[in-house]
Amino acid sequence: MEPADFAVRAGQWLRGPGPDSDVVLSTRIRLARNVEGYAFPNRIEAGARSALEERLRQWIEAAGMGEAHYCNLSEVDPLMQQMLMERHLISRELLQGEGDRGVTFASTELISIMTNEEDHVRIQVIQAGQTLQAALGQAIDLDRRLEAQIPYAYSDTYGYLTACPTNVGTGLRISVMVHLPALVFMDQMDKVFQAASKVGLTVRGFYGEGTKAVGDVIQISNQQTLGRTETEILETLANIIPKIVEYERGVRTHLVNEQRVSLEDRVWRAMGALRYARKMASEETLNHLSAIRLGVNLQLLAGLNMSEVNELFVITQPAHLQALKGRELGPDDRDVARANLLRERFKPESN
Amino acid sequence: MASEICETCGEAPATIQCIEVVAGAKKIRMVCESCLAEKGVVIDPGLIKKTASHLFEAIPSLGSAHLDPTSRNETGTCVECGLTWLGFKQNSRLGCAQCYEFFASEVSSVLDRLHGATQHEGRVPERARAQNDRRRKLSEIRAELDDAIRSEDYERAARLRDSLQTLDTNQDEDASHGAR
Repeated sequence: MEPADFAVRAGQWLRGPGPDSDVVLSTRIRLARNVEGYAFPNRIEAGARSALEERLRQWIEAAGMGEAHYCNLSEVDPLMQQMLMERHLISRELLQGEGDRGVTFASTELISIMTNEEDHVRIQVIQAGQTLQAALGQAIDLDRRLEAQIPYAYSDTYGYLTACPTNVGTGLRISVMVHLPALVFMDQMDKVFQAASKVGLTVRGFYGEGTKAVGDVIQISNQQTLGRTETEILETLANIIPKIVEYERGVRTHLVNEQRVSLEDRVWRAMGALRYARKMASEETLNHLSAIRLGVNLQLLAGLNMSEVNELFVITQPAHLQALKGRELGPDDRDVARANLLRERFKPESN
Repeated sequence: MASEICETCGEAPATIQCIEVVAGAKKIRMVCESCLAEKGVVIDPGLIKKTASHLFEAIPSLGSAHLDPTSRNETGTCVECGLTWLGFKQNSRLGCAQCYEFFASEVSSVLDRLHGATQHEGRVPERARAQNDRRRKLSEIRAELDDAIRSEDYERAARLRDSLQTLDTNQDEDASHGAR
């Protein structure tokens, strides 16, 4: 797997259509697991870590993931590491970690398993749209297959044991990524934050923990992992997500009916910048793409393909641009390359 | 500390112990400040202060748990991985599965604060489920065996004892199968 193979397309979870995909970009399930008899990655000795990494790789292969790739992060170049992160296949923590650590991901990029991250095993299932039940089902199915191979660290009291007590118990984190441009436009995001925190959910940015909510995209996820079942955790999200989706849709309709000119102005200004700018920073890009997504959803813009708009969220990121160009680019050169790519994608003739 | 002479110039007193890593191998050298400066390493007094304060923080955790497991309660160091509770508080990560047992009371209050719960309610791995089932079965049979002996029903007691032995043997086999 080479960076260039990735450069022009985003993963299926971002491209593909899914339920409620006008608002919900993706549903992500994460299960944190550790292996009995080994110290957690933050205290494991280098030798044991290497041995475990190899062992895990074999176990994962035996569990069966279909057509899959494995990368040991300590062996791949920084550009590839960064690309894996931009594609949501690995976390920032794995990228910034040290020593033997890796990721096995399905060719579809819908499933990935990080090894020797904060925990020995981090299973991720990510699907397009709102697919809570299906995604959780798939993650648990994979976990069962792994469990047949791997002796997990487990206690009857605390459940699946994790390095950080915030993940112990089910080890389950469900994150739903939603695009809420109308609520941001109407300054209604506080209500979403309040509603989420009232039921114990937390709100984070596009790239997870500690990242900003750029491009009007946020991730809503559970905080508690202990003392409730997987289904109960899922239900908390299954209750609130449809409400947020309806709220966003309602405000979008309101904008179309009552503030059409302001809305069109926002969408077309974004289009103007994307079509004609010569330098474009990453954050500005995401904000314009957000407006374009909204415009496509509300049929203010014709001839644009939603999955192509979606994937620009990822392929305009720094490592993807550098892979596309086949060389390292400084921030200024990246802004130029990004503007070139966007001009090409949004040029008037192609619409 | 005995006064040593700098390994580099062989003249000035060595005041600094430095660890040189060459091709992954560590070498400890005693050098003087000016020889170190010649190598481009300048000692920042602020750093020394910082390092020293870290050292002082670390001292209570330099327990001998690895050498003497019985002293673990006095040193407060997890016997399995050497983590101290202070170490946990510094980076919010436990070091191994045993930390959950070793720091049980502290962990329990942290979990209560984070999750509002201290008891797992979710899925159980097949392995643990099988073990729990067997444990339950064993204690049921033991209770029946006690009952049989009390009522002097020795035929039943013998049957129960046999099934206890069978279960025990199976468990041993499973345990050796699971060991790595």
